[in-house]
Amino acid sequence: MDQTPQENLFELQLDHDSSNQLREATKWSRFLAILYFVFIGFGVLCLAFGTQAIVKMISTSMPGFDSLAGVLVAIIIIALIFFTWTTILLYRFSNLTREGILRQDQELFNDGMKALKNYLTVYGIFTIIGLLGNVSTLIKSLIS
Amino acid sequence: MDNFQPSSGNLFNVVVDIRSRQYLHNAASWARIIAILSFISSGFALITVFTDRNDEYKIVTLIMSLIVIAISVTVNIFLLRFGTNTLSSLQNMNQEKFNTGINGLHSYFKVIGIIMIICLSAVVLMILFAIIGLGLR
Repeated sequence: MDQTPQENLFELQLDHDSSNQLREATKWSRFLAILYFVFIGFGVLCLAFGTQAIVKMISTSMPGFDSLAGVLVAIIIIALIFFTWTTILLYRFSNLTREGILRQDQELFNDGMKALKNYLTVYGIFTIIGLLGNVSTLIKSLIS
Repeated sequence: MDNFQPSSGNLFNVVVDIRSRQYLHNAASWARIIAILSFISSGFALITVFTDRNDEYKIVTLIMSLIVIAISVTVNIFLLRFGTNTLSSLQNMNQEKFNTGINGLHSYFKVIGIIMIICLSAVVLMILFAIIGLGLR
């Protein structure tokens, strides 16, 4: 994107300090993303080899509720898909921002910021769901 | 920390332009929402822990919950710092606040990374001790 000197005067710059901070941030976020991918891999393996065990456990502990096992497996699969999507966004933020800073490429940097925005949006929605879960637990705890 | 030097003639080619400003604004807004909601969630969790009367392992649950809540609050303080300072810097074009905001984002990911390393090390140690324990029987 072309910028006139006038525009540059009033723009925040990715100066020496913020460049280094952001680069360090992307190193840690990439490490986290890779770690999350490993967790997802374990999750998929557990799902592949543990589905039978889940079905067996539910059918023995709650006879008549066999269909509940299917619902539980479906919830786990959906959770894994959302977690994978979030992790991809985190990985994209790490790579694009880092490359943008290293190559001094505005487009890559902007794409990295877009990935960060998307990551935090999805994470925000999960936080709202988590808060609702905490409220229901609190209400249950107060009633009992 | 290794210091990064911009490669080209122009000292800083990458700026926060209209597009990245919009993205950063949204990201910082969400970061602030996440941090505030997490503080509220931690508060609810704390109340739940103290009001739960059905727990047999009350002290263990209490200690574990307090550790998790303390970690959550610490991590989200950095996220709130990123959100608040970045939003303020985008409104006032304040480079100093922008740098503080980015520093908050760096600290946020770093703290989570360190916590993850500690947790994984603890899990690995537990597995090792379990294996050693089984071997000594």
